[in-house]
Amino acid sequence: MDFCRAALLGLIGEGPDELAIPRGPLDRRAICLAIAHSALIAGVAGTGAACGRTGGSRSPGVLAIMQTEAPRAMDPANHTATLTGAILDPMYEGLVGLDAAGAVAPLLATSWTSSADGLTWIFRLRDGVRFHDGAPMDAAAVTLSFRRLIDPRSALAAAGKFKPIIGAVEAVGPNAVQFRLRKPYADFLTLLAAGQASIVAPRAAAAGTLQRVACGTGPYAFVAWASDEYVAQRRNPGYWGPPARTEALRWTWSSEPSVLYMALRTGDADVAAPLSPVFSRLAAVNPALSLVHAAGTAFFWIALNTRLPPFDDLRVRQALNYATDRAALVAGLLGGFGQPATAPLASRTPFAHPDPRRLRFDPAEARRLLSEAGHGAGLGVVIATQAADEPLAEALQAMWAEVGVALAIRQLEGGVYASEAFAAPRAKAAEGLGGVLASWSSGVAPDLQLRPLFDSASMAPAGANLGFYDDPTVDALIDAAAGARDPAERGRLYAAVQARIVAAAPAVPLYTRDDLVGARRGVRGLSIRPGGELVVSGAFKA
Amino acid sequence: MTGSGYILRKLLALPVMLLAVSLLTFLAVRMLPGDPARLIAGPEASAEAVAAIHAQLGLDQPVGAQYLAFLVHAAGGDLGTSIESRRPVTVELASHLPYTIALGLAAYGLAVGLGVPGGILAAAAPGKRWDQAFSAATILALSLPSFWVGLMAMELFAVRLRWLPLMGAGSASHIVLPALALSLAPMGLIGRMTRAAMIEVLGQNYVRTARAKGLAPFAIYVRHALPAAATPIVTIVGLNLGAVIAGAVVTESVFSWPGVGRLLVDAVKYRDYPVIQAVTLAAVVSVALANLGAELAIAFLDPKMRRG
Repeated sequence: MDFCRAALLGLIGEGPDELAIPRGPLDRRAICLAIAHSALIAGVAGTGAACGRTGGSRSPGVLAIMQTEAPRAMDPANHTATLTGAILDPMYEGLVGLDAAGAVAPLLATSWTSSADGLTWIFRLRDGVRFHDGAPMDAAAVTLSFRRLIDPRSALAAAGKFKPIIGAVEAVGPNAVQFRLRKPYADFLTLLAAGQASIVAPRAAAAGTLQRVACGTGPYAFVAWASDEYVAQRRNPGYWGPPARTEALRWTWSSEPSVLYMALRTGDADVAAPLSPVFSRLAAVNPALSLVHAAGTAFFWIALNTRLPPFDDLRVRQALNYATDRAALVAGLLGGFGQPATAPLASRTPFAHPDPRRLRFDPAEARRLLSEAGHGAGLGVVIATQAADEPLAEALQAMWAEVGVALAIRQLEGGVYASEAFAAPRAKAAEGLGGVLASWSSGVAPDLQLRPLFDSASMAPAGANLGFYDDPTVDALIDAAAGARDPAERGRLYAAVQARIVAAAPAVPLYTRDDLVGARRGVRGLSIRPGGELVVSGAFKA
Repeated sequence: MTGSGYILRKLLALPVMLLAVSLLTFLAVRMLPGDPARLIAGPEASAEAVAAIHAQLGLDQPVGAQYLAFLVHAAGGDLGTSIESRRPVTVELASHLPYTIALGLAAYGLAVGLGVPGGILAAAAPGKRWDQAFSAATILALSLPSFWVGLMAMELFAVRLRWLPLMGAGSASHIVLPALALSLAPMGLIGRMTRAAMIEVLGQNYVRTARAKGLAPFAIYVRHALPAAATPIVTIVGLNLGAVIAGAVVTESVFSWPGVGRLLVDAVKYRDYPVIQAVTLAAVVSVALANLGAELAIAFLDPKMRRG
């Protein structure tokens, strides 16, 4: 769930080039006095600001990137935030990575083999790779990087992603590592390509300094994370691969969507991510800027509380699906930068199985189902949402009103929302919470979305099955698909599970939002990883 | 009561108030719905993963025990460790506080430096053009939301005119726009207060006498009217610091100014209890000190107060 979206405090429209300043006849003495005072104050202000340090980065060797939130850690395993991942990506590498097409490619491992049962994997490591602190990247470093994640007592933020899959990691030679999995897991390599599976310098990990000071093997090395102002990185001269094309990277952040766009125009930022749809449209037509646009995996849905009337009735859940005009939501709220959701997976996720017939807009059918369910006279429902998704909730409010559903929106602050969304059935019943509007970005593995959102073992508060959907057949299909090694078999299983979920309608899939990044013209080599993470390690200013 | 006794009593009350505020914020922060461990581990985390983080942060202890531990450490100058950054909270405060102090001083300087003379001039000829313009401007300054003013100022002065830097803190010029945005509300209030106080004083008999004596207007203003009007002006200046601190939270976020306001916003977002606690305490101390300073200034300016 994308908890990290910034609150939208306000937007500036693109107005005329001059702003009107009211001019009135003023007393001349008053003006002189005022000017004298401002001069005095400017002097005071000047001394006051002496604590600042040199900022700005409009030099050709420095690429300035602005995002919408501050990094949460310099330890790749101690965060789950996409935007933090983007900052760490140039400094860290995993055993494998994903290429631009989303396919697994060698990185710190040059080759790998797996046993016939899919439970044992052996990776051969690249020779001659050194960490930024000079230590060699070897089997000991790899085992340490994973053991701290799968340690039962691990309090690392990303530990929960790896503990259920990886049973043991050990060195089988100075340059080879063996993984034992708890169960066959077809997306294991995709999991290893996640930023959280990066290999970290053992000395820094042991010293406990990784939270503030990054140390990996990537093409850029950590320089500073200054008092919540910026993160600075410089080219790693000892990088094993082709050297980075930019001398230095400088990351800053602002939670104001309009500030990102202003920073692009002034050159304070060479790259701004993610850019909101409104400003993306402006960036696309601004000759000084360009827009990098990729079909995204950020999936928005409403989890319906299947344990609470009226959503314990299949017909009501189906009715809301028919009452939702997804194409209009994409056009109106995303400015076209997205796709209507016609499956419980993002259309870009492998094995997505769209069902545009069942997830069609059909208000007449919605009305028929509602009256059949005894709600012909109308129906009131309550959903929880965050500030950033308020416009989406309001659009649904208007759409659903057309079929006689009165939607009450409970807009909550991020932390409160997280508690309410993950509340157990009893708490949700007490609150009368019928649904939760949420978003999820799984990257490229279907299992990383279907399991947390629809498996009965993931029912809140344990996971993100926020509507308590409980179907043993679906659970079994999710397990079978995750373990199947033959792609055709996986495709069949994933199609079956998605069809079953859509038929049971435990959710109203809404849309998938595209990933949008603004850049100044002349910036080359940017890409966006599935999941929305910006990749700047190959970027440079032409 | 003597002046020094009064000051002493005020200073002695400060630790008591701090203790009360620390307890209140400690409880309030923990009553906030939302769980720092869940916000660290993210939605994919299992219940065990969240419990492991709870244990690591000491959040599995009873709240009373947590508060006692906080008090014991705070007495030794240790305000705890930030949940997010894992740095001592005192280090976080020390690295952010200078920026907020600089911004607050600059904004306050602008507010007082423009509001007081503006109010004096407006009071000189009530109802005339300058007074009407001043009244309109102060109403506007008071009522425009500071984030909107900030964004507009950025668009105009940084993006279109390129006079000033857009955001961040690098040079002296970086402070101008955030200080301007932050100064507007107190400037409006101080300006209106000054105008009202001056109009009242200028209507007094002794001012009429001074005029009748043939004193120059400047001498009447500076020597006779201003000292008498100073008490309400200084009071409002002192009382307004709290509003400036509150405004700094918004302004710092808009301008990416690395002060405690921005620190607080992220701390609340991620339920970083020790940081919220420390920033709140720092704000209370500064407001209390500002009020004390204002009272001292009034005592100095107004002989009636000194005699108590």
